[in-house]
Amino acid sequence: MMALLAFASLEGWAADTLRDVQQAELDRVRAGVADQVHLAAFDLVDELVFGWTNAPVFETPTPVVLAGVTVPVGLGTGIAAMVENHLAAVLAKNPTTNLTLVHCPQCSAVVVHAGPEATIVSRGIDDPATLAALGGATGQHALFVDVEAEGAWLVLRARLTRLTPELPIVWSHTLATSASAPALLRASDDLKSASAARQEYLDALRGRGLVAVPLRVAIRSYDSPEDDQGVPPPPFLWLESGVELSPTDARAWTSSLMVGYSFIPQAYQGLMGQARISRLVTGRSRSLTRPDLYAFFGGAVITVWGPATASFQKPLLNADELLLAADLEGPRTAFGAMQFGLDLRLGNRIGVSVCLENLPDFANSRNMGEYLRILGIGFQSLGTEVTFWF
Amino acid sequence: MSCYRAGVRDAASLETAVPHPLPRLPVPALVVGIALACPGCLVRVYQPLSALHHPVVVDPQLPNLTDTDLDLRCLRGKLLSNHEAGVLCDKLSTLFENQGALVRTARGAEVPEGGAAPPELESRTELTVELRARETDESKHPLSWVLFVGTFTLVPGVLEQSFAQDVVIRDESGFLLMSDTLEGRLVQRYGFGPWFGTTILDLTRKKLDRLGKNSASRDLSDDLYGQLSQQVFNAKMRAQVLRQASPIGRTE
Amino acid sequence: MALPLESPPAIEVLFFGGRDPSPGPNRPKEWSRNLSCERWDAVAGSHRYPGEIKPPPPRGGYVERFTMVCREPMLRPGLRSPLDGALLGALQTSTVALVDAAASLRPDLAGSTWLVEVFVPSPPVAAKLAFATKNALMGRGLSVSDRTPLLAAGDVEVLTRMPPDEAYPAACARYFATGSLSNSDALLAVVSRDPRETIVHAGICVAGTWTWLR
Repeated sequence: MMALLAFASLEGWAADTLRDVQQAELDRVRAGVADQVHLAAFDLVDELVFGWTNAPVFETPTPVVLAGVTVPVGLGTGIAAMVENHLAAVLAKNPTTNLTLVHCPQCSAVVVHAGPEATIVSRGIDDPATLAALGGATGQHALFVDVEAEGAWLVLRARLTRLTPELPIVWSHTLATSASAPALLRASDDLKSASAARQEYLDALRGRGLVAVPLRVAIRSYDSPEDDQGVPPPPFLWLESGVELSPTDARAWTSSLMVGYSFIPQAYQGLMGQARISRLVTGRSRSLTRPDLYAFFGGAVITVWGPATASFQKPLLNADELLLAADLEGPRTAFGAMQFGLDLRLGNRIGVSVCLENLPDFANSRNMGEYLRILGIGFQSLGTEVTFWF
Repeated sequence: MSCYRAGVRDAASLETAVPHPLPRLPVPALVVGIALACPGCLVRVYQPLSALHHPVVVDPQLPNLTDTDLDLRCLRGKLLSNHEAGVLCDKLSTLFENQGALVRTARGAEVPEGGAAPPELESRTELTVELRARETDESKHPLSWVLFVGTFTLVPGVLEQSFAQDVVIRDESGFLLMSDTLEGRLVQRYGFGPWFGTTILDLTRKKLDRLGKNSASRDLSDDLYGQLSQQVFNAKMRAQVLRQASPIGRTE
Repeated sequence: MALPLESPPAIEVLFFGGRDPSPGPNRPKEWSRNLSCERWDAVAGSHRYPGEIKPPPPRGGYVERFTMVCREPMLRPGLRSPLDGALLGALQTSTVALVDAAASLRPDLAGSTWLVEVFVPSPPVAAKLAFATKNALMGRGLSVSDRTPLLAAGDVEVLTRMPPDEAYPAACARYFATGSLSNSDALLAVVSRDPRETIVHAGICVAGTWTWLR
């Protein structure tokens, strides 16, 4: 096969030269690449700061000047500002690193020092003696960070230099990440190791199915009538389950279909069918680390029977009627309900919700009042729920 | 061993002077029979795996190696026959002579088994370049050949081979200046389907992006000759530095 | 020396018959050329990338399986010059090799304070090489300073007119004569002698004496 080489042409050496007309396209590509690289660079910065939180360089909080952040050659300075800002933000949110960033305008400025031996022009940070004369940061430390693309690797190098005349480097470190490694996207105020972040990512993926099975315990209570002449139904305890569907992984919208059963011996039994549509109100996609709040709207069909369900009658009940109902199996009633509420979920695993129910069949019932009336719609029932998703 | 004087020779004329041998195709007889029905239905693609596509700065058309004495040793082995090693050496000799080097070629020495060093030269010049080619992997993809036959060559039958080109450059004292391994892969897709599809798609591609005809050999040659030119130039510069170094710098 | 891996290598595993990285109808030649690939058989690959490459069945399989593990470059080709790309692509390996050579060839300088100077055509690349070399020296446990040895403007003017073979020893002597380098300092210079070469050389300046290392 290598004989191909022997018989191939020696022609075709003309190297591709960059033409002027390609410059605009090159700039566009640079911007695109920078967008892709900056997440990996942020990851390395997070890893660097996480290392400091675990093993601080200094035992006590120490002022440090962020002397310079350099980025891969060819990507321009925009990404440098992004990395610098991110580093400053992560350091500010992690004081246990014992590195306190301080402002030192003289450090980055060009200073001129004229002495009997020579006149030296340099950055302040490279000439601590001049820096001291200017009232700068002698005795402090300077942090240098460099990010460079080396083949398939993005490599971050950092060093800390003490700002004394000898400029000794007191600490250095090198980190690398591969181009094919997805960004870990750690929260800057909740840094964790790469392995922990990866585990969280995998857990999130595993919990990201489009179909979930909720198990819910709910309590419905009914408002007392305003004139206190009727008898409101007792609180109902429901056990519900069904399926919940999400059209996308973002889970911005979800819908659920559930059935419920309620049973208190010698008091009541009930069956319920319920459908809900929920909308995420805290962001465009559910968070992997923080609770999510959904607003929901739904409807339910409920049938209840038993001695304690006589109050689900429109007419006003008196004591004789209640006693009569208790002696028999009791009345059976079916009615519909409209639900509005809020649902607070954590990691799509557990949640607590509150809802108000409008029961149109009992709009004028003398046995129950209204907790709230909005736009002419009265809410006779208040529900609190705890849900577990599997 | 033969010896050439330095001088710029016409690479194109050298190419026409050398006949093209038949490619070695270790395929079953049945497949050969079917392939013969469509003799030109072959698409060969080349992919550099490592080091072959590293950046090259030196321009091989310029006199980068002026007055540099160069020994070129192309070792034969399982991948390169004696004839192929000789032709490769001729090509590389022209490449380096075009850059101003004085080239001696030594061909035919066999690569020892087990990766041992080849026999030592009786005398060395300023730079000695040793080349040995190895086959690192070969796959015949039998399932693809079943489909190849079953679909009347619409689905490609695939053969692939990975190779490594070891490059070792020493100075006149035998001191190791550079060593590197250039790895690549050649995939051959037989059949009317891949040939027709590639031919049609090549009509829509830029010249340098085309996959048909001899683009694989052209790309492989570009990569290999470019890398070798760069390696030899780097070795020359390193040799110059080491000549000025104290003895402690040559204990490698 | 391998780069330190602080995060798990999420690799792109390409099974034959699936996504072949060679050029093809839907895989442009340029995309394929950008990849750096290794070919692994099932046994070796499953040891190198456990959990990502499946080991072969205990009783063997009907078909021998290979896996190509490919990595894309962090930057697309063409964003920087070939020389910059070559020097920066091997930044870690080349600087570690230089420092290894310096530390092993001059073990007597283990107690010295090391300074680094870089002489390559591109200033940004020079800064990268200096940073990487200092970190590599720190990695060897050596004492390193960020200080830059200085020369007077007149010295620089004379030195820049000299051929490289004479300029570096002369500069070294001047560093020492002017007190910019003391007896306890060792200056490691990283040098590109020709814009056509893709390697860098190293020299050491100690007590006014210049020595090329590699």
